[in-house]
Amino acid sequence: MNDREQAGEQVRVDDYIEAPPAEVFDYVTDPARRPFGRDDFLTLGEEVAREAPSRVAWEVTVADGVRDRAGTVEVLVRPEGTGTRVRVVHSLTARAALGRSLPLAA
Amino acid sequence: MTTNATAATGDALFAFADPSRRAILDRLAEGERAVGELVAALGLSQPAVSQHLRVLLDAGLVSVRREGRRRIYRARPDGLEEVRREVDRYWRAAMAQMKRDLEHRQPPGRGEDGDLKRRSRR
Repeated sequence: MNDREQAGEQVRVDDYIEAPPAEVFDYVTDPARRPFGRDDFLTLGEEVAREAPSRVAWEVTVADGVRDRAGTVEVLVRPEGTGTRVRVVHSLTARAALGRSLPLAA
Repeated sequence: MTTNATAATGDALFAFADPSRRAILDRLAEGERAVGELVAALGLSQPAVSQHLRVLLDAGLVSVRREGRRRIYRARPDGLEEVRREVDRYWRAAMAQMKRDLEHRQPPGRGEDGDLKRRSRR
């Protein structure tokens, strides 16, 4: 990961959640429960990776659903203390960005 | 976020995701270029480059000025930064909601029944 990708091609957000990793993973993979990816800002398209209970990724669709391949979203889940460290990596580029995400410890 | 802002960000997300358009942005980040210079540098057809530039212009990721009969394009770093800010804001809000949902859940054996059990032990 170089500085340009850090600055321009990816947005990363992470936080600690006081809940077990499996529960967090079930939540983010449940379209009826997760609070993202089903609004007019961003819609999740095809699921392109799933490694339960630690990683899931989707392609991103924007606008009216016609404009597909507008990047990828990856959610990484790692046990931490009595809860879970969750990292969201939104790559503004298409599928090729997958597999280059940083480990959660970074 | 307003509907217009959402649409603009969506346009920019779409525009930025394409490899050819990113290659054009990379060239323009180095300095201003005319269409012909981009065609020569990237090996794409002129119609393709022109179409990509139109998408990038509409998304606010490049700007253009006239120099005689030529149209000179340049990257707008602020355009991409605006997109990053909107995406970052979106995910921070989503993360906060996830935290609320998951940390305020009712664990098994708790809630009203749990309260009753605790009360019955007193």
